[in-house]
Amino acid sequence: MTENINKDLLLKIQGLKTHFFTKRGVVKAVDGIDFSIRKGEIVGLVGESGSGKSITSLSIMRLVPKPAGEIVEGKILLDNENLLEKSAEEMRQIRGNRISMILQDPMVSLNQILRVEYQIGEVFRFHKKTNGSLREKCINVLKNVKVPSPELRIRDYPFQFSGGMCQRVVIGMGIANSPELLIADEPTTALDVTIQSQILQLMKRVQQETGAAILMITHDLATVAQICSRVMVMYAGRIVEKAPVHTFYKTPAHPYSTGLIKSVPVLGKKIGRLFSIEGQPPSLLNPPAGCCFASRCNMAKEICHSEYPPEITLDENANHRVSCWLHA
Amino acid sequence: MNNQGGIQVKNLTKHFPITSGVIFSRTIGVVKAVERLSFSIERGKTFGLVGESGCGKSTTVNMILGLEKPTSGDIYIDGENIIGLKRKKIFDLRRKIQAVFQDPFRSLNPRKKVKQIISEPLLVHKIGTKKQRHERVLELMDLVGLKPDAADHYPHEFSGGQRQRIAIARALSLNPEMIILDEPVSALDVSIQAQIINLLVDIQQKLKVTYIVISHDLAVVEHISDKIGVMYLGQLVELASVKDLYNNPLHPYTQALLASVPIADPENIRESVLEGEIPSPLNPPSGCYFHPRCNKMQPECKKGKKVLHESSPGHFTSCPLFA
Repeated sequence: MTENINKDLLLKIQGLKTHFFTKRGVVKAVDGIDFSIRKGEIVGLVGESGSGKSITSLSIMRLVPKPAGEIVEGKILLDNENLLEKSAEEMRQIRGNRISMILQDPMVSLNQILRVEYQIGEVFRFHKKTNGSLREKCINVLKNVKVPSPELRIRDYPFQFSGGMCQRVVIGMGIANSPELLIADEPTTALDVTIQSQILQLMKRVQQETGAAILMITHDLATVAQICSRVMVMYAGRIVEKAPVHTFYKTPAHPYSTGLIKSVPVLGKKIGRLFSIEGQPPSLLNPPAGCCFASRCNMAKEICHSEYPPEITLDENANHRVSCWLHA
Repeated sequence: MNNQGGIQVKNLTKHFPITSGVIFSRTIGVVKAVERLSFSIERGKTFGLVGESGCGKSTTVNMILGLEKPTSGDIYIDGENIIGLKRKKIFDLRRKIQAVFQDPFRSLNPRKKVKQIISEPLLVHKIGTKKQRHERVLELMDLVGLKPDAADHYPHEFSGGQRQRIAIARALSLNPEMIILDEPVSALDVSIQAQIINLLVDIQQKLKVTYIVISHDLAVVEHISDKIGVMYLGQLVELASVKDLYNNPLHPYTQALLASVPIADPENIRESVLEGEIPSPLNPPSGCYFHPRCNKMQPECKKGKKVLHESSPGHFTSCPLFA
């Protein structure tokens, strides 16, 4: 691939497979995905619940729940170092320092009975970046994410903050050590619309100011359209389409992508019936042979039910790839 | 206001006292969760209620469902005032109003089979024989698009969308006149959301039920509502038909709300217009509650109580700029 020679490549994932070994069988939550993220870009990973997008992010962080879950195959290269070969201690030094993560519900990801100052300070204490006044650093973190009167709020507990403010604190903690990669797992889903757009703007600003790359995991196509430059669509443990954001919304190639885009109600355009993709995503316990989407696809051919399609490059320059027999 | 079915809400108010002390508790303040709320919707139509969290949407529907006692105000269903009814009457009333909640993972009893869940309202209201109830369950399951063999399964065997179908079937079991939909699709995936929205629209056309929809997703509300009320800090700030509200929003809060909806189109990047957050309802601002965040604020906005007034036929707003 051409990306190999690319100097500004930050993260490269090759053939990643994360499986869960349960009593009822092996659940192939992530089943062979490849993608890469360049320095300072915002990439969206879209998919339904159960499609494996969160497990992908946990795999990158090496936080796959044990003992059921295991990364069985593949490579996760951060600046050409394979994270899967790192020791537990080395991984601890990477988390919150080179890669950090923002979770969906800020009320859950903050400890309600510790002051915000203590929790932000933890980021610095843990990574031994305690030169200078810790309090000033914490105040700066809150200033960065535009929490009003940070000098006072630093002494507050998370429950004294609103949901949007909590999420700001969490983002602040995430970027405190200027990570190279920020993984945001549904960062705006739990928030109100007005606060959602504030948080999205904040994340965009963070990316511009710190140059961190952001992997945005979401099921909301609007969020992706608003801040990402590239999109990857995940379905049943695999990435079915990768495209630049403009191409993706104009000419999606995979029937699943097309269906997703069509099924979103558009503000200000009331139509009679919404387009909907009939059926349910398949069980990952016994995934069907062939393309996982074939049973819901109205353009499925015979081969779709028997063999998984290869990744087809539609546009080499724009990096538009799709896994679908229709384009083979 | 007409009296042919549907619902009329008049000056509905709910205050929650804040008390201090355990034994000699005294009231130290009041949260005005809902204040002088009035709206009406005809039978078979949909009323959408939108606003940020904490604006009083849920308190409003809880009062309509009879789960919360209003401080003052009236709610007429089919021309009958449901406030101050006797317990027996309220029990009968529940047959007319049913609800579908946001999270189908929490609203269904995990220890009951689907057929038990759907037939429970019938059992509670002692309707039909066992055989009739079973037939009704199958009929309802067909209506919401569930296969008959699902009847003997438990909720955990279903995905979110299927569970929401079960919840809808349960709500329909008593042939209600009205269904309250509290964020009916926000816990579901995009591809499933559209299925459920279409199902709700189909059911309404078939059975002529009235819906009251609460949602923070303005696109979803637009899609299924006929009339929409926008709430801010317990008050309606704008009330209009869907067309008027989306094409010509008057109140600056409505405008800001619409402008901040993220759109699934990379060519159309939204800038957040609304700074700050919703103030505490314990200590709301003077005058128009929205004035501290409003970009069109005039001196008169800080004074006096702002109430809804009709700025054009059928289009109400509380903004003093349109008085």
